[in-house]
Formats: sequence, structure tokens, C-alpha cells
Amino acid sequence: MNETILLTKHMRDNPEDSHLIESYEKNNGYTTAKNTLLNSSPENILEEIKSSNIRGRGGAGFPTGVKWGFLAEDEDRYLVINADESEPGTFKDRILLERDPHQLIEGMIITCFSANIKEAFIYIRGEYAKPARRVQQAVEQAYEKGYLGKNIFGSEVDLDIVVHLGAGAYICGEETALLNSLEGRRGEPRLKPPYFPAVKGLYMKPTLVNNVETISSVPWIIENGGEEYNKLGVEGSTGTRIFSLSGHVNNPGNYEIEMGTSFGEFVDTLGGGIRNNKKVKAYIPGGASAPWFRGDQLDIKMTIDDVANNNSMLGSGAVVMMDEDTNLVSAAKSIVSFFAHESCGQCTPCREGTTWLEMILDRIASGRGRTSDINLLLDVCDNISPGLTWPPKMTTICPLGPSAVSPITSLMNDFRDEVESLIPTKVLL
Amino acid sequence: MSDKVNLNVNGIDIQSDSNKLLIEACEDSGIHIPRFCWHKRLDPVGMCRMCLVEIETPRGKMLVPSCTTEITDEMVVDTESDVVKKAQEGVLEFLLINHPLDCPICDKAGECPLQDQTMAYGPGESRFVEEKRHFEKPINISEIILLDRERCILCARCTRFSDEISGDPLIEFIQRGNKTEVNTFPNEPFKSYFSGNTVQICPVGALTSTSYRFKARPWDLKSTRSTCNGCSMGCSIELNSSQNKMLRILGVDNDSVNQGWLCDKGRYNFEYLNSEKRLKTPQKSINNNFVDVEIQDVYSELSEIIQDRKTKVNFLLGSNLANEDYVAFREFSKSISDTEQSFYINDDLLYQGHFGQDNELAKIDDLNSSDAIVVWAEDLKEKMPVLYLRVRQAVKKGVKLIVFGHTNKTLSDIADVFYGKETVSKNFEIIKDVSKLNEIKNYVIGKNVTAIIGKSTPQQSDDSVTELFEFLRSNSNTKILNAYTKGNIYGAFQTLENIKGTRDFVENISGENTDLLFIVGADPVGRSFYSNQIKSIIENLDTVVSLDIFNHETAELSNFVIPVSSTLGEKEGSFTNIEFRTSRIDKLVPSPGQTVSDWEFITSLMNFAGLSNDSNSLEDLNNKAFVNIETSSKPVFDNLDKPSNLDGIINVYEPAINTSENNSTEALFYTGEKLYGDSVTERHSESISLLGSKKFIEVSQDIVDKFNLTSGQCSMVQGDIETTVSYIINDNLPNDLIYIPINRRDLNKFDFSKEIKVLPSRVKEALNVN
Amino acid sequence: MSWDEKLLKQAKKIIKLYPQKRSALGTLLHLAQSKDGYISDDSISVISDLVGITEVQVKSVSTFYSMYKQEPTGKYLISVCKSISCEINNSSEVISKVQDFTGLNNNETDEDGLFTFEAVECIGACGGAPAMQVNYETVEGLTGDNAINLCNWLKEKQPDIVVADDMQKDFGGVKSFDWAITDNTGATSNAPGFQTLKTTKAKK
Ligand SMILES: Cc1cc2nc3c(=O)[nH]c(=O)nc-3n(C[C@H](O)[C@H](O)[C@H](O)COP(=O)(O)O)c2cc1C
Ligand code: SF4
Ligand code: FES
Repeated sequence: MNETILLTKHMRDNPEDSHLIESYEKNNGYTTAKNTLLNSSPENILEEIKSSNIRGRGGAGFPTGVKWGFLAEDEDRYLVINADESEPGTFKDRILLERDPHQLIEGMIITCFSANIKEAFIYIRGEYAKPARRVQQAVEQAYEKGYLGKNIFGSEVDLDIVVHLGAGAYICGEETALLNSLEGRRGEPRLKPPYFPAVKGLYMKPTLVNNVETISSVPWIIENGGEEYNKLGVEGSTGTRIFSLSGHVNNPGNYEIEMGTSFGEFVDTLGGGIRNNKKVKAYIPGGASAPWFRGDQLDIKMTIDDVANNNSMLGSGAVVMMDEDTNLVSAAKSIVSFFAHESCGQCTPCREGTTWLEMILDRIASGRGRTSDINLLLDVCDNISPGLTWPPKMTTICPLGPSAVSPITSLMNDFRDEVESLIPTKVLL
Repeated sequence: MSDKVNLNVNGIDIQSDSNKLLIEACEDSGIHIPRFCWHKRLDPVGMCRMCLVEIETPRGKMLVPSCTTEITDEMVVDTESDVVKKAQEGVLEFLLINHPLDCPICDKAGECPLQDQTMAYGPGESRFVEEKRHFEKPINISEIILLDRERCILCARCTRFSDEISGDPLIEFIQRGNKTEVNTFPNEPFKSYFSGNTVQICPVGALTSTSYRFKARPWDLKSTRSTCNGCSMGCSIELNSSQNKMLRILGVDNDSVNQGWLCDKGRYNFEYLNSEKRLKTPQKSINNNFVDVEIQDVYSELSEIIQDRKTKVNFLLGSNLANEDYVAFREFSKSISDTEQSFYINDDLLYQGHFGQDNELAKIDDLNSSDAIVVWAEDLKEKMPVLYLRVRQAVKKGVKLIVFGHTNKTLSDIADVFYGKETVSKNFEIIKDVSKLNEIKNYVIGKNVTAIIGKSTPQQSDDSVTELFEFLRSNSNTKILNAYTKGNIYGAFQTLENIKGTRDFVENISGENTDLLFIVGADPVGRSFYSNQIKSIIENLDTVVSLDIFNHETAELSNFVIPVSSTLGEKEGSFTNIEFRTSRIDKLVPSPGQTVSDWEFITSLMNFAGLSNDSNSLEDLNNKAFVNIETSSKPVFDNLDKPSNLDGIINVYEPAINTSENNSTEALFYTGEKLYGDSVTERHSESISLLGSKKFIEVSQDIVDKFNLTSGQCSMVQGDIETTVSYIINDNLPNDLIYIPINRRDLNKFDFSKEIKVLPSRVKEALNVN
Repeated sequence: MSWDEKLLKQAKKIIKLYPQKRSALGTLLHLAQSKDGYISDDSISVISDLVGITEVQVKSVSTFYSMYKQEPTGKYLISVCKSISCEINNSSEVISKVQDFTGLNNNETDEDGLFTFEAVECIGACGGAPAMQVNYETVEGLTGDNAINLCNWLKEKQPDIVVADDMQKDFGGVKSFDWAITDNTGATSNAPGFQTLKTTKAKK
């Protein structure tokens, strides 16, 4: 299989300077935004986005056009770019920020025009120092050129962009936590209902929160038309997506492909296969929150719906391959530790449960497990995510708590032997 | 009225108001859903997850927190399904894995929702074999509050109360996830006037008060409902005692008044009841020495004086009496004199006010429904803290707020228009041309305004207040809440027929017109702005009788001192608050020694002296209390004791206040009172004395420069009065004006109409020499 | 108060970027950290004044985020990733070797104030696992030995600016993606966030 290069075209063609405005403009950058502001209407733009059928690239996969359509009327409305990318396995936004920040800014200009927004923020995770510097520089260059600020491209349109850095909290990727964080508060998710960002977002004003990749796709969609975009990929998963491939593969990296091929094909071709010709024991199809697939499930198609139908999610597009030698209990423990560390602490089941799960797994992984621990693990999971179904039921405010359950259910459903083998049989409890 | 909606809960059809949350709607119909973080008076956060229930949705049954779910018509709810039960057990287990097992020594045991719910819904034994989370055990986060972080279940009730309700977010979550704890900032402990509320609403024993710690177990507590007499708000309270000792006061959720909250003074200023220093026997001053006497002897001596028909008797009554006490004095006065007698109330700020037919009086609840609130009175936070909370609540609901004249910026954080410095400078002149204050016009003209209006300092002219009120009345639809802040002063208004204040007392009373003075529950020498003048008047009277709980500076000047019981928990009666709401006060503990109630004393004296008297019982007095009210809702005990009237009954009434006009003189000082002082009860309540009586003045920077103050301390000198105080720089004071909190005995002895010298502290100078 | 004029001026500029003062809190904390290497109680007081919230509110926010350090840190903050992709690519070896070299446990700072070590969650370098950051400058495709070499280099050279590209060239291996042109900007402290204050919003 081959890549389909839209989003990553400019950076590939111009490796030396793709992050600079000179290079971006030389390759027709900002002409779409300019044409839009001077010749199009907000309604037209929204129509194009709707007909492209693009779905959000942040993880939830919500149709972007529908989301824009929900934005409530108000004098003050905001756009916030979610560049908090922290889902283990994911590094696709990083390349877009670092290598092609102007594409994002152009997407933001068009988005804000369509939604009549005058103030936008890019919330970048604090650990992305270099990407943030590049974005900062790009924003400044855009201001200098008059592409941001007052009367952009000589139109009536004004737009300000502020680059804001997080400070180390995965939960701030959750859109309402992100808004709290941007308001100078603890990054705790808000209750939905009633705090849907499109109605009560930043400062309780209607706010669009979109992922970096989603908005970076906007210039192409507007330049080529929603219909063209819709033709790429498959129904329900249109366009291209950047997948972050990591783990035990020969060629880890970001690959921009049309959705629809199988994971197996993806790994074997673009990924160059599994290192040392090993077999895949299990893999994560969409970031650390997603339940795992077994090595014998590599023919599942890489679409939002196919993955969902197989009880997992395409999520943030992070594919992690684990070969036959992988210690899956340690792998699961690593993921559970992650969520325990990143729990905001509001919900009792998440705050207490994830840490407890971590402790139990730690016991098992280090050979101190008890037979009863298997049921205990599952029961604690059940108290966080009742029924252990997918998509998860939740006893919590946001899906972070239930995300910690995913690796454990995967482990127990498909690799129970591996867990049991670590429990010393002598200990009968 | 909001719409009604129908829901089906556990197969039962119920109806509720559409604006309710599911947890409330169920509660109203008698279906209890367990919860920890949800509190009726706080914004829901849905954090503890204990209140999860299942509702039917198009996508099947869903688990939702009932505390954040708004009800909708035809909603189908299951609060008892297996899934719900499992989830609740799970939450409880999660809460318990890190909760210490120290119930045997925890204050909360016996009234602990966590303990109760563990019994009701919890799992049996612990499956948690790891080590629990540990924190240093209890830490003092203020003089009166302790925090035990191990017990905390992170429900955010204390943090939400401080942020949303009291507006002083001094306690917060620190860290995140499993490491989250509540705490205060090192240099900035929990200095809130409302901190006790957090102890009351903490669902576990994480926040405790030093006052109650280890004192009792809930199962041997006796309790009753009463009314706080700390200020004219009249908050509903529950009194708790054990072994005849008052141990604790809790706020009762009276929707129209305090909504469950209390200020810390109202909550902790009961400890004096248990003081060793209480007066226990009647005393007579012989050659400047007090000796114990029999009460019968007092009656007979006083009878002799009274029976002399020419005797001129006067009364200086405190504001902490029950309505029935006031009535007893009224009846006494009627029986000895044919002419109508004035009663002097121990209030420096008493003035005519705005009552009568063309002034529509406001209720506290009107704050919430008005367009704007105008405050021009004593500092509400210092003097009527819970009314201050109600103002905050109204503003949070969107009501606009205009505040005049607070030198310490109270309410400036939420006011739409705030006049501080400008108001108090030059004798409140700003008020004289209110109509020029464009900033307030937008908010009041043509709007519904609730005006909280009263005098803020004794030197203020009556006019200045009237000026503002007249402006409001002619430009808007104004309701007024006359801000007399002292205790049961509205009870005095309702029961007495001719009322004057301490200023009139100073102007009118002398040996010429007074042979016998009763001072009842009042220590004006220790507390009043007119301390010195009152002192010299009393010294020149023939006979002075003090009725009080403690000996104090005024009582010491008296000929007789009669020990009386306290209106707080030691007697029955009624109390009337700022909106003329009358509610019950109740007795829970006996008063010590030979104490009597004020009404008992004066009634007995009448009988002893053979005066005509037809009211010998508390009920008699209560029946006679409200002579001017002839409605079915007359607040007599029978009515007040009906369950539907526990929150009190309002009967608006036009009082007969007959103060003389106060035309202000140029004020050299701005005097006021802080919440905590060193009044006689405060001195004998340990918690309050830890918080309060520090002597200080507030000054502007130019005063500091002018008098070369450097050490943080200064001396104030006037004639032979001298006192050392610390000074605090207050940018909100106009140049040259010094703020003096006069509810401190050393600070009220000055004559505030004359110069007081401010000198760098001598103590410090002496140090410098060395 | 202990912030000098220059810092206060920067702070005021940051505050102006946002529609509401409190939004500046995060960036001001980064600024405080750029000054002291951690969030001191003193800075908390200054910031609480600047933003108009209580000190404990500032503390509450600052302790929520793992990049705001509550204790002084070393000149170089070494953050080795331990999340899933790194974990299955032997990050534990990198961690133990760096720990051996520096003699530090998790979240400890050495006596010279040179290194602070931490094992952290995903830093977005999964394609180049195992990876680490020095003052948030990323190095990918590490081995245990190369991590030690990197630490050794830091110890000997003690550069004032740490540049990802330099470290990657000398000590890194497989990358998450092609970094393309080399970049000479880097980190001067463990507080990258305050750099956003150069934003030219003022240009309006
Ligand atoms: C725990 C959690 C973490 C998340 N992290 C991210 C993230 O790092 N980046 C992101 O774009 N979306 C993240 N999301 C999804 C966002 O909440 C939100 O759906 C997304 O920003 C919407 O943008 P999109 O519609 O363009 O995808 C996260 C969601 C959850 C529940
Ligand atoms: S599920 Fe976890 S991370 Fe999400 S709101 Fe609850 S405690 Fe916070
Ligand atoms: S009471 Fe509803 S979540 Fe706590």
C-alpha cells in the first residue's frame, strides 16, 4: 500500500524550511484562506466541511461539520486547538506542529471565518517545547504579514491567536479539562451535561475545540472541495489520516493514509513488518485507551467503524505493535500506571480504582500475586466500568477512568493464561 | 412557579418541579439516594459518584449521577437496580480503601455519612491489602479548625463552600489524582469568618473544630432548635448539649434566613455559657465592694425605692433579651408610671430609620428577586455575616450590587459599583448629591431595588442616610431593609412603645431625672462609642441595678448585680429578626447558681413591690408581647410551635423610635466594629478570644508618614488615656482619617470628637535605645 | 516582593494576552519556574497578587500539573519516558542506567544541583522509543549506554542552552519522524512555557 499525501505534502516537498512562512507561501500557502475571506461565505465553508464528512482526529471521531453546526450564537465565541497530544503511542500532531504550523494557522483562519470567531487559542502540551517554538514563530510571522490581527487579507475579518502551553497533564487533552486549564484552573473535566463546549465552553461562551490534525485538514478540504475529500477513504472514515506507528516494527513513524486498509497490510508494507520477523502477539489499534487486538486479528480494517465493531477504537490513530516476546502483564501495567498517574482525581472510582489496579498488577507482575487477584482485578474494573463492555459504561465523569480498564479486559479476555502463569500456585487464597 | 414533571422512580410515579435535580426530586418523594459530595446549597460537582442511578435512554439504561442530572418529563429511573447497587458498593469500597479505621476516636463517629452508608450499602470485609495513604495527622489550619487529611474523601464541600458561598477560597485541593488532598496555604491559614460551616458540612471527620473535639458522642447529645441572637439576622440553629453543658451549635437550613450557614461567632460564641466566671449569686456593692446577698433582700430594698411614688426609673436595655423580657420591662414600667416611658436600647447607631406606610419593607428573600441591591450600612461582613452571605448569593444569581462606604472593601470583589474612600471622607458628603452619581443610575432607575440601609458609624448624620434612601425611592421601586444589626433589636421594636438609643441616653439621663436605673444585658462602658460619658452618668446616679451574665465594666459601677440566664440556650422565648420574622428561642441547659431570667426578676420584683401585675408566666408575657399585631399569624408560642412555623412568622410593624436628630460634626475618626472584639461574652469564649480581640487601628499611608510610624506599633494618647496598638495600612481610607474598631475596651475610652495623638510606639523606642 | 521589574513587566505582558486575567496563570507559573527552577511560595504570592486569586488557589493549580516543580530542580531535568511504546522497547534499561549514573531516585535532585531525574509518562516520541527529554528537549532512539553518554556530556560541557537536534545527532537513534532541517533553538531552563509570551497580539 501507499501513502496518500495531502496533509504532509508541504513538509515532504520542503524538508529544509516547511515551517517557515516564506516556504509555505511559495507553495500557495494562505491562498485558500485569502480566497475564502474575500470571496466565500461562512455558510459555504460549513457546507464544504459537512460534505467532506471529516470526523474529528482527536480520538472521539465526532463529525466536524456537525460539531461546527452546534456552536451556539453569541457575540464572543472561541476556537481552541487541542494540541495536547498525550495519548501514549500518539505523535502525529507533533509533526504537524513542528513541520507545518502555517497549515494549521491557515485552517484556523478559515474555521474562525466560518464560525465568526475572533479569538483563538492553540493549547500545546507543555512537553512539546520545540513544536511550540515553531508554532509561536509561525504565529508571529503570520501577524507580521497581516494574516492575523485586524482586517486579515484586507477583509473585514479580525482574528487573534494565542499560543498557550500546558504543563504536564494528559487529562487536559479532554476538551473540557483543557478549557479549565486555559482558564487558569486545575485541568479537571467538566460535567457534560451541562458544559458542552459548543454551548458553554471557554469562559462559559460557545467554543469550538478541535484537534490539530482536524483543523490542519481544513485548507485542503476548502481548496479542493468537500466532495473531493469525501471520495478518499471509505464511507464513515473519509479522507486521509496520519497514523502513528510504534512498538516492535521495523519502520516506526507517522504515515498518512486513506482509511480502509487492514492493520496487517499497514504494518507489513509501510511499517516494514515486525522486527526480527517475530509474530504479533497483540496490538493497540488506537492509543493507550483502546482495547487491544490479538495478533490473529490483523485483518481488521483501519476504519473508525470496523475497529468499533470489533470492540475497540481507532481513537487517536496510534498503532502499537507488541511482538510474541512481549510481557503483556508489564505492558498492561505500564498503561494502567499511566492512567493512574494522569487521573485528575475528581471521581472516586478513577482516583482510587486506577491506583488500586496498578498495585494489584504490580503484585502480579512481580510474582506476588494471589489467585483471588484475578477476580479482584476484574471486579475493580467492573466498579469503574460496569459490565466491562465496549464502548465502556462509566461510573466516572470522563472516559479516563474506564480507559485504564481496557488493557486489563484485553489481558483477561485473550491472555488470561499469561496472567495466571505469574501467580505462584502455592498461594491458595 | 416552575412546571411540574412526572417521573417514574423504581416503578412508582412521582411528580416534581421541573427545575429540580434528580436527587432532590427523589428526596422530596421520600426516595433516598446515598451521596457524599452533593449538598443542596452548593453547586453540584458529581465527584464522589455515590449517587449513581440508572435512567432509561434511547440507547438503553445508563448510569448517571443523580446529583447532576436534571429531571425531564416521563423520565424512568431505577435507584435500586443491581447495577446501581454494585456501583454504589464499589464507590464505598473505593472511598474506604484509604480511609483510616479510627472511628473510635473520631468526632464524627455516630453522625458520619460514610460510617452510616458503609453499614447500609458497603461491602463486608476489605479486599485492599496494600498500605493506606498517609498524611501527617491532624494539622491546625486555623486557631479553631483542624484538618485530618487521611479522613478526607475529597467531596469538595469545604472548597466549594469557601469559593462559592463565603467568597474566601482559602482551602483548596492540592496535588492531583490519588495524591489529591485539601489544604491551606502556609502563610495564609483558614482565616474565614465562616470556617465552622465547613466542619458542619464535612461528611466525615476530616474537618473538626477545637471547640467540640473529643467532647461528646452524638448518641449522648441532647438537642433542640433555637434562634441565634448574635445579630439581627436571627439564624436558625440547633443547640447540642451533653450532661447539661452546651457543647455545640449547628446551623439549621432555614430557607428564608440562613440556609444552614452560620458565622463563626454565632457558632462558637456559646462557650462562655460554661465559663467558671459566670455570675452565680446576686451581689450588692457596699463601700465599693461586692458582697453576695439573697435575692429576696434585693427585691425588698428595690421595692422600697420603687414604692416611693416619686421615684424616677429608667431602663438601658441590651439587645440580647428575648421578646418576653422586653415585655416584662414594659409592664413593669407601666405599673409604676402613668406617663409613657422611654426605653433606652444599648445601641450607638439607633436612629429614626425608614418605616411606616410609604416605605415598603423588604424581606431577606427579596434580595434574590430584585434587580439591584444597594448597601449603605455598617459593614455587613463584620456585623451581619450571614446577611452578607445572602447578598453574595443574590449577586451570584445575577443581581447587581452597589455598595457605599466600606473602608475595608467588603463586597468590593463582587460589587458592580463600589464607593469606599469617597464615601467616608468629608463626612459622607458623597451622599448629599447622590443624584450626581451616574454610575449607580443605570442600575437603579426604574428598577426593583432592595436597599440595606442604616447608619454605619455614630458620627454619621441621619440625613446622609435619608438622602440616599430618598433618591432611591423617588427613582426606583425600592424596598428597604433597615439595617439595625444588633441582636433582638427588632424584638424591642415590636414590644416596646418608645425607644431611644445610647446617644439620647447620654443627652437625657442624669441624676435629675433618674433615681433608679436598670441596666439589662448591657455593658456600654465596656463597648459603647459613648463609653466615657455613660460611665460618668452612671457614677452620678443614686441606684443602678445591672442584670447580667458576667460582671463587667458597667456592672462594676452598679449598686446591685443580678445574675441572669442567657438567651442562648438557657431560657425559652421568642426572637424577632431584621425582617420582623419572629421565631422561637429554646432552653436546653440549666443556668448556674441562683440565676434567673430577666423577665422572672422583674416580674418577681413587681409582685414583691405590690405593683399591679397580671402576667406571671412566660406565656402571659408572650401573649402580651405583640400588642400591635392582631392577626391569626400573631407569633405567640402556640403559633410558633406549629411544625409549619418553625422557620418563623413575619409581622411587619412600625416601631416607635424616638431618637433625636443627629447632625454630624466633622469626624476626626471613623469608628466601627469588627466581627470579633472583646465584649464580655467573647472574652469568656475561648475560640472567639483566640480569634478576636487584637488591638489595632487602620490608617492610610499618609498617616504613617506623617507620624513617622515604622515599627508596626504606635501609641494613641489623649489626656491621661494611652494605649499601644498595632496599625494596619488600609488604602481604602481617605487621608487623615483613622479607622478605630471600638469593640475593644481600650479603644473605646477616647473622646472621638477631640484629637487623639498618634506616636511611634514607645516600646519600640525603648528597644532602639538599647 | 521578590520579582524584579523586568519579570513583572513580562508578567503584565502575559496577562494582557488573555481575555481574562486568570487564564495567564499557567504561563505565569512557567515564568516563575524559569526564574527559580521551581514554583516557590514567594512566586505564588506574587502571582496571586497579579492574577487576583488567593495563594492557595495558585498552589492548587500549580500542584495539579507535573511540569511545575514543587522543589528546586537541577540545571538539567532528565525525563525518561516509561509509557507503553518505550516500555516495550526497553526503557527500563535507560532508566536504570541513568539512575546509576546520576545516583538519583525518581524525582530526586543531586547535591550539585546539576541533575534532576524523573521517569515520566509519554512524551510523544513513541516512534523513536525509548526516548527521553533534557529540559523538555527530546532525544529519540536511545540505548542505555547512549543515555549515559548524554548525561556525561551534559556533566562535562554543562551547556547553557540544550538543543534537541545537537543531542539527537550525537546520542540519538531512530526517530519518530524525519526532523528535517536542524534547529538551533533550545532550552535554557526546565520551563519552556513562558516563551509563548512573545506572541504579538499587542500588534492589533
Ligand atoms: C482523557 C482524554 C484525553 C484526550 N486527549 C486528547 C488529546 O490529547 N488531543 C486531542 O486532540 N483530543 C483529545 N481528546 C479528545 C478531546 O476531548 C476532543 O474530543 C477533541 O479535542 C475534539 O477534537 P476533534 O473533534 O477535532 O477530534 C481526549 C479525550 C479524552 C477523554
Ligand atoms: S474519570 Fe478520572 S480523569 Fe476523568 S474526571 Fe474522573 S477522576 Fe478525572
Ligand atoms: S453526590 Fe452525586 S456524585 Fe457525589
